[in-house]
Amino acid sequence: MESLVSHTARINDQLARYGVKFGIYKNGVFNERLFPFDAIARVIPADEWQVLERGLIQRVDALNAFLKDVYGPQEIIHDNVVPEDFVLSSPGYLASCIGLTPPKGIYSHISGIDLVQSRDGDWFVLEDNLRVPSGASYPLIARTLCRRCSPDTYRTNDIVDNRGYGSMLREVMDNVNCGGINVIFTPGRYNAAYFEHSFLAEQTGALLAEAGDLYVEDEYVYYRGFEKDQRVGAIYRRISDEYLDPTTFLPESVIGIPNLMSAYRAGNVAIINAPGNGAADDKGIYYFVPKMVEYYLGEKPLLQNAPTYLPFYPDDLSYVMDNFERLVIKDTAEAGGYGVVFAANLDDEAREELRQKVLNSPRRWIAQEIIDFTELPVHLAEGDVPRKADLRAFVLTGHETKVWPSGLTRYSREAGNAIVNSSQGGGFKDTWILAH
Amino acid sequence: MKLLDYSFSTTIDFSVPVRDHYFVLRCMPSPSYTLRVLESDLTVEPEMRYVRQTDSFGNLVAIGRKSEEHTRIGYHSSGTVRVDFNWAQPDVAHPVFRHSTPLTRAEGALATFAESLGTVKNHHDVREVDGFCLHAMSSVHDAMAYAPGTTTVATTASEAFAAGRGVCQDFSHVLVTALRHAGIAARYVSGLALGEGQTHAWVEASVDDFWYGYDPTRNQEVDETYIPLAWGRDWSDCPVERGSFVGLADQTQTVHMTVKEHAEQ
Repeated sequence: MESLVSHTARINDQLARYGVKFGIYKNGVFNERLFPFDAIARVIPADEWQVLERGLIQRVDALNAFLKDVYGPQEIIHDNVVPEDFVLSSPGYLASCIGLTPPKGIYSHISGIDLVQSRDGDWFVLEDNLRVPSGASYPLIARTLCRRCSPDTYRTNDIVDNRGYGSMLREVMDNVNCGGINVIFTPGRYNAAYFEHSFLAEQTGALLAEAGDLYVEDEYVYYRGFEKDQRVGAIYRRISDEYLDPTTFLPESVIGIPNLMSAYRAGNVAIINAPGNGAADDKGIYYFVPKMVEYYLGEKPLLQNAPTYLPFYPDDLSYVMDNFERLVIKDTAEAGGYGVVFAANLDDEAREELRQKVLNSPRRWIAQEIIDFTELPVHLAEGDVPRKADLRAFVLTGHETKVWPSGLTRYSREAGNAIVNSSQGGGFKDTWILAH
Repeated sequence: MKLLDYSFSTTIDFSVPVRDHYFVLRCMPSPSYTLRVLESDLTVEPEMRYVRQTDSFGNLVAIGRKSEEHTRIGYHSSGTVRVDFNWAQPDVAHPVFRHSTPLTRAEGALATFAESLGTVKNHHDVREVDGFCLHAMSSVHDAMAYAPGTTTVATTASEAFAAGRGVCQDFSHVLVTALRHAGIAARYVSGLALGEGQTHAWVEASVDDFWYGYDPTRNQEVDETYIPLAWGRDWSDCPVERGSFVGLADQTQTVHMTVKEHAEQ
């Protein structure tokens, strides 16, 4: 690893040249920033990975079953496992998807599951991302550059090859393709993950399309070509549900495909991931995921959640009120590291204000115990420093559900800070899965 | 039983040519237990292709596209329906109709009003639930003045109620909100009614698994002279026309409609 780490600066230069950037909106201004790469990889031993892998597959299968259920018969609600309110009043639950089954019944084709490891070595799931999880391209391209700088590292360390992501993704698209080509649909270059969209198109052989490249006629989607138009059978869309189709969702969207939902309803195109998945990755629904595993699969969940309380339940509310300053309070209406507050870090006035908000609308909030998760070494010129880090695992559902043997490890920029989301300004590492 | 002839046309004139015009129309009666469509015709001008589908709420929709430039688009829907409440059958309401939406949240004065209507003790007691709905309907009617032009399609139930005025859409949003507040599944209905010169809106409540109609604007129970065109959680699920086009044009919309009892032959 030492030889690799000595190349850190060169690898970052290469990443910059390749345009591996991360765009963020801050105070209404769009800035493209480099996503700093740290060459000291996170290493996960084979036996540990096997447990994670089984747990992730189980979790994603249960989440897919849940989505099929809540847009269909709603048995989990009738059986009082999940309260109706948590599903139907979630902003991610789309009424226009009720009764509509996506091709092959798959809702979440690409799931980004965020995990952390406690100092005791236990893994906890912090968040499920079933809408448009991004980030797989960063470790992919970083690994390629690292291999070029230090090929020996990969010959001697028995690291599982992660270059199969493109073909895994392609298999996912082909599996649900309803006839025609695969496209990756991007909102355009002013999107935080535009680099990734173009990279994945290259990796999967799909066409990269923007609004205007695609149109719907007679319940079919077409790609406007130079010579002739081609039918589209699967759309890996990298835009959120509300912008997807202006004649169904937000009318003011100019980055969507008008009437797309009519082709989808007719079963003529697959949308990856399916619209409406927000009903299952809501911060409030998270609490119920281990129960879903038992309910749908009849299995004990292999992966645990961080200890979570729902102020919606009176017992949990009183616990949260009594232990407020020890907990992380999360606003279920926000995503991506926004709306996450460590109550201990607030001054008395702000803490009291938040406490009142939780009391007034308990359904909107969840509270979690703080997990003292592991720090990983990050290489700096003055020496290695410890930083909090999480892991986004990518779980792909095609003919069967598989976990990509790699992942995006993100670390926080400042010591002690536990929020690692890239939109909050952190860096990333490669994740090595060992073969033995 | 009523046999009704309906005719409904909308014309949209654009100030400058537009193109790539996509539309979704909810302007055809959707068959239900109590309504049979005997004849239904839809023409779109200029001539363009469209397909018929059924949306998640069971509404018949026409979906199409006109890519060439045009300055006018017209939809004409007409036909004959037979409405007979004796055909009613149990139809369990989807739970989505028990939950509020951004347009139908009980806030401020509307929350107080909804609270003041009291509660339903037994949701399976048809007389009690129907009585509650009728009382709620009259209370909404009394609390609001019919005032066209004072609200828009974006006005929420709470805003309209606080202002104390609105049109059939606002009256219906307020009633839907109040009924859901009492735990009754309620849906918004857009449609045509005998004696109206424009599209109308009213409310249906699930009363022991049967849909009962209430018209808070006219303060009357819905009878067999009403023709539903679309059901939804609120207006945004049922617009007669939704479109998306390219071109910076101002739009002028003209609507003509009639409903009359079918002449005996």
